[in-house]
Amino acid sequence: MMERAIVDCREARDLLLEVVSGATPPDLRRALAQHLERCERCRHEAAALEETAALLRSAAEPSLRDGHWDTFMAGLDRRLQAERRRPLARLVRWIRTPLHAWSTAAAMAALVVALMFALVGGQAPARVDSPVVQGVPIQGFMTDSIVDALPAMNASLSVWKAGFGAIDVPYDAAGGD
Amino acid sequence: MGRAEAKPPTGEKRHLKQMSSRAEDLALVEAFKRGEESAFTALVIKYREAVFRVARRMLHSHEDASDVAQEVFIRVHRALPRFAGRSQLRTWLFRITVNLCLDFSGRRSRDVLTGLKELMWEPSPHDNPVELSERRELGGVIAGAIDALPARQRAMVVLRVYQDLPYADIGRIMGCAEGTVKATMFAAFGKLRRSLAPYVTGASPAGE
Repeated sequence: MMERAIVDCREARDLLLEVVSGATPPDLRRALAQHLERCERCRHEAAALEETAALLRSAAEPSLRDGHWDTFMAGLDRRLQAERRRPLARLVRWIRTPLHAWSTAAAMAALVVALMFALVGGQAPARVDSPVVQGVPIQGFMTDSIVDALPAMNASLSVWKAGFGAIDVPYDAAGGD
Repeated sequence: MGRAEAKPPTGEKRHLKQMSSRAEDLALVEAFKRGEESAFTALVIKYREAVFRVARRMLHSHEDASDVAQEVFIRVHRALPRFAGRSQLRTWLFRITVNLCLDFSGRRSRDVLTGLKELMWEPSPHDNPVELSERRELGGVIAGAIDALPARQRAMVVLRVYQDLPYADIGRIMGCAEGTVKATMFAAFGKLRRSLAPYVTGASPAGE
């Protein structure tokens, strides 16, 4: 493996902070050390940065109170229990589990297909734009008064189709053209 | 034996340790996805200290840090079924932690630095009173210097100096490029050197 070499102070100073502030790959450390042997200014800078980093690290981790983690785990458990009791959260979590997610997706797809069949292609009665235009009485919905009125409505439609100025439109009770 | 354990791991050992830790994390995540709640508890026990320490360094409050750390694990519990393992679990956890701390800091007014010195330095039964007093003072100064940094700089310093994370991981956590992390860290260290100048015997602050 090729060793990395530092060529200028700028690159060295970029690395300095990385090296003094935490773990760094050994090849970077070696390359920086080689540069520092030659460059007094960077050495001076490195010393100052190292001192600052050491000072920051000297602020040791605060000691935890007795029973800290027991209290923490009990609190977390309470919050998780509360979360689990929320039905919507339970449902969401159940759905988000990959195994359930697939079955949920399959069930949803089946539901959508069933709905589409029911609304479009199923056993629903054929749509009729108008009983007059089609000439097909919709038996189930027809009352006698509607049936009586149909010829007159048909005749009116003939007039509208021909335009109100037409004089040769037959207008009889049968409503035929 | 104690001395040997105290030595920091070499690069190769550290890498092996990280690989093994990552494999363990993935196994626990898979177990959790299969419905084993104990796998989640194992993850909490593994990472609770790191998460809490980052939150405490950022928020300077034991209670707030505890609250945020619990919230981190609640969110992890919610989102873990969708965790695909593309990023490291540790990086993901720290990202949630830092984001929650940044939100928390944003909501909290800057003047609430309650008991800062006490929070950074708690007495150990082995400390003698004079040493303890000096350490309390220095700890307070360091905490104050870190707290005076802008929130994102503070997060990066905490992750680098106290969690020893590589710049690349910090970039992933903070959602920025590695170069941005370097530049931000450089600016942060410049400020820290100025703030801590009376305690540092070295050269003039960086960047000057």
